[in-house]
Amino acid sequence: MFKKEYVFYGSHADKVQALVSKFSNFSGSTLFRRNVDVLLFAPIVGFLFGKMSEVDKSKNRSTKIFIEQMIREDLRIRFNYQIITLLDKKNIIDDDKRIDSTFRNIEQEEAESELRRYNEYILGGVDILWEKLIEPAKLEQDYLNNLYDFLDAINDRYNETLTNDSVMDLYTLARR
Amino acid sequence: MLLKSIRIINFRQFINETEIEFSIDERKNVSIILGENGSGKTSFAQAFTWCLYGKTDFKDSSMLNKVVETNMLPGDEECVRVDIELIHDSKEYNISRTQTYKKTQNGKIGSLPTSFHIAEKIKGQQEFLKNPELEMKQILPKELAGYFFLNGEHIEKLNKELKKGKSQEFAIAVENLLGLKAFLEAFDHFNPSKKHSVIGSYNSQYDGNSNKEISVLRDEIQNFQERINRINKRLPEIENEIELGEENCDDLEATIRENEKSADYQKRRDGLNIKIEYNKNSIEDETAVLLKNFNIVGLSFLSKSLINDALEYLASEKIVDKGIPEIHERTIDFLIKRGYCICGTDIKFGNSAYSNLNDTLEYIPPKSIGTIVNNFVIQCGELAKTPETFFETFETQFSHIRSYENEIEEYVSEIEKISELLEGMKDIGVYQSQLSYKKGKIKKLEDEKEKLLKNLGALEENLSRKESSLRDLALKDEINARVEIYKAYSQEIYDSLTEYYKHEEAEVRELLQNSINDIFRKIYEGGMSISVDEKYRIKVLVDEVKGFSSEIETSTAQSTSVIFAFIAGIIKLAKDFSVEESIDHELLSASEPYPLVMDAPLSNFDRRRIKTVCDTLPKAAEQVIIFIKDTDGDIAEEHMGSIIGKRYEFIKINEVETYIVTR
Repeated sequence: MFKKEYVFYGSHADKVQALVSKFSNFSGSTLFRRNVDVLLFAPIVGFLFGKMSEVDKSKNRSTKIFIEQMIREDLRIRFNYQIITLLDKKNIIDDDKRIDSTFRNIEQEEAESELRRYNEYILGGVDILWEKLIEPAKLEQDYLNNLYDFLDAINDRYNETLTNDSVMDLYTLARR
Repeated sequence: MLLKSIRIINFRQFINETEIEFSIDERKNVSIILGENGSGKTSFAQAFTWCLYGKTDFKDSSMLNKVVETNMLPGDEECVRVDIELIHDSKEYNISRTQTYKKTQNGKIGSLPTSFHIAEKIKGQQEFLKNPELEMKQILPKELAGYFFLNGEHIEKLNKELKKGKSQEFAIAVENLLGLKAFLEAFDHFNPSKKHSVIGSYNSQYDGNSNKEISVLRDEIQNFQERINRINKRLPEIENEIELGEENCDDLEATIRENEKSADYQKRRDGLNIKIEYNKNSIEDETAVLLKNFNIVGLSFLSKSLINDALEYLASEKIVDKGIPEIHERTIDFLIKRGYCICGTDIKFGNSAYSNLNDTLEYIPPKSIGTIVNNFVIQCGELAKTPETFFETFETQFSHIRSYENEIEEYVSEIEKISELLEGMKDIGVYQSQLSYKKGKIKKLEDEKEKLLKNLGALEENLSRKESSLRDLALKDEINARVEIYKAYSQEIYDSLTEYYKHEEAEVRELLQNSINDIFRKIYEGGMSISVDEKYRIKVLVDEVKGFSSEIETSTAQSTSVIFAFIAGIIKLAKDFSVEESIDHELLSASEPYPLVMDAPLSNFDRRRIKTVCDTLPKAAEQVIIFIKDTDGDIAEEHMGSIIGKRYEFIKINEVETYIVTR
């Protein structure tokens, strides 16, 4: 499915580059290590925030993820696609269609529209990450502050009531 | 000495002629001259020193009134004149100084030579004295005038000397004012070490013709005496140099003490910089760990709720069926096309293997997605095992980083404060090396002094031996015996004078100390006293209950009080000495009471002390003349009202014109 080079275009290319750039003069730290890490985080963030963005081709700029890295991360990329497609009831209302798109037609041409939608979540996620982590930062220490605030908000909103045990109980049920 | 009047003409602000008579009443001995700031009080006070010594503290050397100067036409002459009438040693004098100014053709003002006269009133007639400068020295030497014509600047100068423990000026003042000066002149007259003194001149009168040995001894004695004189001349120089050097060392030590903290501050700053560096490194390490953790585990943390939702959905939908793991429709198609199974069985259209494989298609993808869903669920399970503590760990690491950053902020602000403090401080290293250089110099001087004292002892012993030999020889012939006898008489007079002086001086010093302390305790309340040592060094001591006393540093009000007490103390003592019946120091009766002329004397004191100053000074001095500003004047009036004999007020017209009115 994603076993090919991936390219961010236009403003998304700029944003991805900002997310993988050093934010501190003395520590050399970056929020994300590589472009591919942004590609892994972005669709989850885009989906959690319900944010989908179109490819921006207005600016003649791009940044790539090479095929080798895409293959290395294929399993996780595929998982992200599946979990988002499975839960995207807003865009695919019919349960059977969602199941088919998630599991049955994953490698087939019918999945093209789902792949496009998934890519919009990736780009939406890039926008959110940039808005939350990079845009409001004025000083060096603001980057870590923003990351903390971002994770804290996620924790409050989604994770606080979840325990590993409760998730594993569901896992057991789903496996039967 | 009593000041009767002062008359000034065209002197600075005072245009034309202005005359003031001072109170010479014994009881009402205070004259007060009021004036707002800038009205010419200081000018008027300076008119005294200008008249008597031709000196003022003004930067502008011209004394001519500016209005008069402006109105002068080229070629015009105008004069500035000050006349002072005073009584000294029961004689009346009129002292006058005149300075004539001439405007040149190009409009510049030039001054002609000053004329200075002293006239003595004898039987109502003015008799001009021949050498007025010398007469003035007799009446009141310039060096002492500072004690009676007091202004803020002079008090400040005395203050500094007092703080440095310098005693010269005080010692001279005491010698002059208390009649001790006459003794010193008598010593000089007899001094055996001086060639032209009474005793010295006898030394040269020995007749060497009759006895060659006498001539040799006389030369030897002269030689020893000259060497002793050289040493005696050098010794005070050395002492003075040592004193100056010690003063320098004290100043340097004070500077070093003041700036000693700079070394501590620098150390502290270096320490803080090291801490900042350490914290920066810690922030770097912790940030790296935190972000690594975020990149690895953060995705699972973000996905956790989605995984939960997906599992919940899949558990409720019965879509998980039985299948053959990892087998897809494409696998079966491949085997049928190939014609034999993995186990080797032939697959042919219609045979049992063929129909079994076709049946399998019902349970495998894409017709059945059970296996794919199962794999997905397993992956969900794996990812859900993300450490639950991810966010807590992140939070802890984050708070460590924040506290390192906060500490850095604190350190930086402390460094800024330290840097501000250090800005005004000096590098003590330079002062340390100057101090050791000066100390080395003092040590050399002390060594020289010790050597000279040793030589002096030996020379004096030799001298005394030679003199004794000379005496023995001299008595053998008539002419020399006579010289010897005259010399012995002179020596006896000299020795008695010395002994008497020592005794009197010690007594006078004690009287002075008591007199100063009486006044000081009145002006400055609070368990302190003043000591005057044999070199007239003044120290302020704290009186303590158990007899222990220690020297203390003096504040401005306190040291001004000391100066007042000292001056008033001397004046009072001189006044006491001048009243013949009251003393048994007949040899000191040459002393004379003096007036006190003060310009703004109360500005260093608070209201309470002003009262005590007002009470004390008029009692101590024969006559008090005070120039004072309006506000202090009211207080002075309040406290001295009954003893004020004359009152005047300056009326200021403008910056260059002031008039005086009687109040």
